[in-house]
Amino acid sequence: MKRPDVSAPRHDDVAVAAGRAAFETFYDAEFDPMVRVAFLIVGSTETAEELVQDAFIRVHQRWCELDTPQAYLRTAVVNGCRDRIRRRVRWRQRIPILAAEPNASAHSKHPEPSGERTDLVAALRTLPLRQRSALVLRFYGGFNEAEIATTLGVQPGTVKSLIHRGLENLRTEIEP
Amino acid sequence: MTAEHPHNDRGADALADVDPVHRRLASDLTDQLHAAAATVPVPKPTAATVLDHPRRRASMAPPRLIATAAALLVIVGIGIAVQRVRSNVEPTITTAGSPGPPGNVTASPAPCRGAANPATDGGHTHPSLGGAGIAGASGVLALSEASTRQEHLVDGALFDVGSEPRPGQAVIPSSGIPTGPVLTLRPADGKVSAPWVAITTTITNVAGAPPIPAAGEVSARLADGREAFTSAPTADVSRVRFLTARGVTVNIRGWDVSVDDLLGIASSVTVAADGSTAVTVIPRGTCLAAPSAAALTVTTSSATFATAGAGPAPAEKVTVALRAAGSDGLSFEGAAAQLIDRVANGSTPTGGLPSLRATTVNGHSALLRLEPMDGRFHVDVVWEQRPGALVGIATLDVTTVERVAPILAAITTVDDTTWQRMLERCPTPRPDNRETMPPTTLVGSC
Repeated sequence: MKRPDVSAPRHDDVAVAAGRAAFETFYDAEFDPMVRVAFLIVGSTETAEELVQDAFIRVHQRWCELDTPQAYLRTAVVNGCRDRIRRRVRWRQRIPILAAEPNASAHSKHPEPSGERTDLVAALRTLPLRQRSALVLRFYGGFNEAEIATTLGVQPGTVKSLIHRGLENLRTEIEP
Repeated sequence: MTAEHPHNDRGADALADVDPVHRRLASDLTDQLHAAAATVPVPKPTAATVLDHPRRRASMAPPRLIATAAALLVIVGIGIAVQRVRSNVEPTITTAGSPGPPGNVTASPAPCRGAANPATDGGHTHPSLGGAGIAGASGVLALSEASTRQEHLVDGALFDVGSEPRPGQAVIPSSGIPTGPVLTLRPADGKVSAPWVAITTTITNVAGAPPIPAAGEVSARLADGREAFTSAPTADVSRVRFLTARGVTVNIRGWDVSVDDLLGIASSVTVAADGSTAVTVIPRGTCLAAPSAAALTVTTSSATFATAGAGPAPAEKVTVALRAAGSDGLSFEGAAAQLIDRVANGSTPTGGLPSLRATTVNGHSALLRLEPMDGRFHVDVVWEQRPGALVGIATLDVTTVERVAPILAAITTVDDTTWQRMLERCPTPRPDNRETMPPTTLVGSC
C-alpha cells in the first residue's frame, strides 16, 4: 500500500494534505510508545526522545515508499539505540575515567522505580544489546517473533534463542 | 507498550511462548518494564517537528537547486585551492599597510611582549598578535623587549636568529630562513584566511650560543590546513612553553609549516645555528587559556622543590602531590572530568586534550596536562618559576582520577648539563613510545 507522498512537493494539494495528515496520525500514535521502547533499551529519556525523533525523520523521508512504516520505524529506533550504545562503549574504552557511565537515572528526568522493580529493569541493562532489545520488544512491546526478527534483522529462530538466553541471563543477574 | 498501546493485548501471547521455567520471570519482567516505561514522561511534540525539520526541507530541495549548490561548492573549492597554491609557492611579506619590496619587512619597533589585545589583520582576527606594535590592518610585526633576557632552552634546540637586531626591520630571504628577529607572514594576496597557525616564540639561548637579540611572534600557515592555532585573546602569548620532551619537531619548508604527523599545535619556531628551522609541536593538551576550573593546588612535600628557583640539588628526590581541592572548591577529579567533557563536546579552545593551569603553593605557575592513554590517565605537570621560565617537568601516571589525590611521584632533579645529555640520548618522543622518555625530571631554574 502506498501512501501519499509528503516528502516531496506535489501539484495535488489534496494528496499532499492527506499525506501530511496520515503522517501526523502515525506520528501521534507511535511517538510515545517508541520513546518508551527506546528508553527501556538505552536507559535515558532524553536519548530515547532524540533517537525516536531521528527515526521519524527517516520514516518521513521514505514515507511514500514504505509499506509498513511501523516496522521501519521500529527498526530505525532499535538501530539508533544500538549505535548510541556502541558509541558509549567506545567512549568508555577510550577514556576510562568516564567508565562510571552516567546511569539511567542520571540521564532520566525521573528516578527509576524503587525496590523490587529496579532489579529486573536494572538487570536488563546488563544484557547484551540484542538480548535486551528482544526482551523489550517482546515483553514490553508485545511484538511477535516475526516482527522482532524483522526489527533486529535476524531469523525468527534467533529471536526465540535471544529471548531464552536473555531470560536466563536475567535470572543469573538477579540470582547470583 | 503502555496501556494504551495496541500491542499491549499481545502480552499474554508473549508469555505463552516462554519456557515454563522462565514464565514467572517473564511475567515479572513484563510488569516491571511497563512500570518503568510508565515513569517516562514523554513530551507531546507534533509531527510538525519532523515535517519542518531541516533534513526534510533538504529532501524537498529541487534537483536543480542541489545542482546549483554543488556547482557553487566546486567553484569555491577550486578558488580556495588556487589561492592556497599561490600562497604556498610565493609567499610575500607585507607590513604596515603597504606592500614592501620582496624579502623586506618593516616592523613597528614598539615592544609588545606580553600583550594580549587581539589584533585585526586583513579582517581576520589574530588573537595571538597584539598590543603595541600592531601596525594597522595589514601587517603585524613586533619586536620584543626580551632581547636581554636569558632563558634556558630545555629542548636542546639552538635558537639563533642571526644578525643583530635592528628594530623596525627584519629581512626575510626567499629561502624562508628568517634572519631578522620577528616576522609575520602573509600570503601573496595579502588576505589572511584560516587556517593559520600562530606560532609564538620566545627566543632563548643556551650556553655558548650567541646572544639572543629579540623575540616576538611569528605566524605561519600550516600546509595541511588541518589545524589552526587559535590562542585565546586572554592568553599570554608572548612566551612559549618548551614541552619538547613530549613534542614533535618538524621541518619548515619555506614558510609553509609542513606537518607530516600533526599531534598537537605548533608552539615554537627554532632556528638552529646551521640555519635549519624547525617547529616544535606540542602534543594535544597544551593549555592555551586557563579554564575556570583551573584552581588546583600543586604541593610538594619537600622544601627543596619549593625553592627550586634557587637551583635544585642534583639527583635529589622530590615528592610531589597533587591536592584534590582547589581554591574554588572544585576537586581535581571534578576539574579533570569537566575538562574531558569539554573536549568531548568540542568546546576546548585548542581542540586538544584537557589541561589545567594551576598555581603551586609557593606561587609558581604549573601546567597540568591530562592525557588519557592506554587505560591510564596521564598527567604532565610543568612548573614555571615565572612566565616562560621552565622549572620542571614531571610525568605522573595515574590509573584513575579517583585515585589522583594524592599522586605521589618521584622527581629526580638534574642540572642543565645532565638534562641536555639526557635529551641527546633520547629520541624525539612520541605519545606512543613514552617509555623512551626519562620518567620524571626536574631541570634547574633560570
